[in-house]
Amino acid sequence: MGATGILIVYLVVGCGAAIAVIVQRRSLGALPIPAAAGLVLVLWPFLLPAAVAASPETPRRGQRARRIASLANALRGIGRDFLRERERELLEHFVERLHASDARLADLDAAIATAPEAVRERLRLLRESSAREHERGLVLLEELAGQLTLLRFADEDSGGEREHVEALLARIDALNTLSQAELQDYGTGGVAFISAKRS
Amino acid sequence: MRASIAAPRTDSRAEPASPFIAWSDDDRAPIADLDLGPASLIDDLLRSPQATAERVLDPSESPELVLGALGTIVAGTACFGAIVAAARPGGSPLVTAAFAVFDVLLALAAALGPIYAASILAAARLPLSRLVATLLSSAAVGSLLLAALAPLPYGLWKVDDTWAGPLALVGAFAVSAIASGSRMRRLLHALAEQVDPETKPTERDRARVAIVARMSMVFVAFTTGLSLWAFDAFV
Repeated sequence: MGATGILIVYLVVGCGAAIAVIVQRRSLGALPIPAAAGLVLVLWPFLLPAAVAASPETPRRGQRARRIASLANALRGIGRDFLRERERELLEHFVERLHASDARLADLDAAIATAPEAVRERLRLLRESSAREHERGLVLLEELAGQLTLLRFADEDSGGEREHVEALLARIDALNTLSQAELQDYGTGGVAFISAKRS
Repeated sequence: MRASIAAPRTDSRAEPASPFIAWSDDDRAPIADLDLGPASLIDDLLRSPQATAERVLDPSESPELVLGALGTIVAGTACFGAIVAAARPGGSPLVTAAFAVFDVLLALAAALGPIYAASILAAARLPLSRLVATLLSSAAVGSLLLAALAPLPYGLWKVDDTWAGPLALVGAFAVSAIASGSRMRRLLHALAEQVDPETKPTERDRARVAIVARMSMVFVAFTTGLSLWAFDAFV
């Protein structure tokens, strides 16, 4: 492929990116959409990621769930040879926990949309902290997937990678235990609250 | 007998006492803080990698940062190309400026893929939108430096167009490339430190970031430093 061919491919991709910008109504900062589409057509390697990331919408629940599912599938595939039965169960439990926190984020989004102004700020703070927690869990899974890939290609006697995988699994275990304890506390607190109301 | 001949100073920003200045409370009052408002993008690019990293991490500021950095690269490099072309007999400033900008953008696009791949290999993936913003911010610093260095190849080309001029041209690109590369390295470290203010990166995280930062520095410096050869922009 000569220089003309490369230029044609570049422009075809640019046209696709510009059309995507117009259809999805993604702008670049204060630029109007036609101007953003024109710039994306010429400079798509630099501007397309910014246009995609600049979406004002928060990630939809479907997107988050898909991310968790794809990570879980990847871990199941890579971890088959390197993780013990108990460790695999631990991971499944953690994935369930992430799905639960995803549902909680969706509930919070719905609550924020309909909540009165007085509590909206507090709900927003709660959502931010839940989203941060959720993101940390996903990062932990991503890191584990990366380390397992490293372990797959590392020498038999290199203990460093295995140790790091075990440290990550210990963190996941601790988070699982913590969430279990929180649930139990919540349950005990709820029962105490209901009995106090009844009395 | 005087205990000390040094003028007493109560505040570092106050007018020092002097036998040549009449004492006055107004003169001795500390200078008020200047309210300069929020720093401009160029200020942040030149002065503070931390402030630039904050802009990269803020999704609402990212498009402005990318557009601003692109504008800075285009303006700085075009300015350099036009000035150097003006020194050469028969040189066309407009054509040289256009080709120089194209060359630098092409070099940056060429560096994107290897840096992204290096970040994945080191298990420290940098999201593409943040990587592009970081890369362009670093290159913008280099382009500003390139524009500032333009008088040097201009003057030397007028004096000696066989050795001194071309060497100054290559030297200006080399200095700009080194500045871009080292800014890329500092920005990546700052990003890793600021991405989550509550939890600082562990030693292993820092080691992985250091690998990606060093490799990025080399890729950016190498591709932008050699970009002057592409398409014979300066021939």
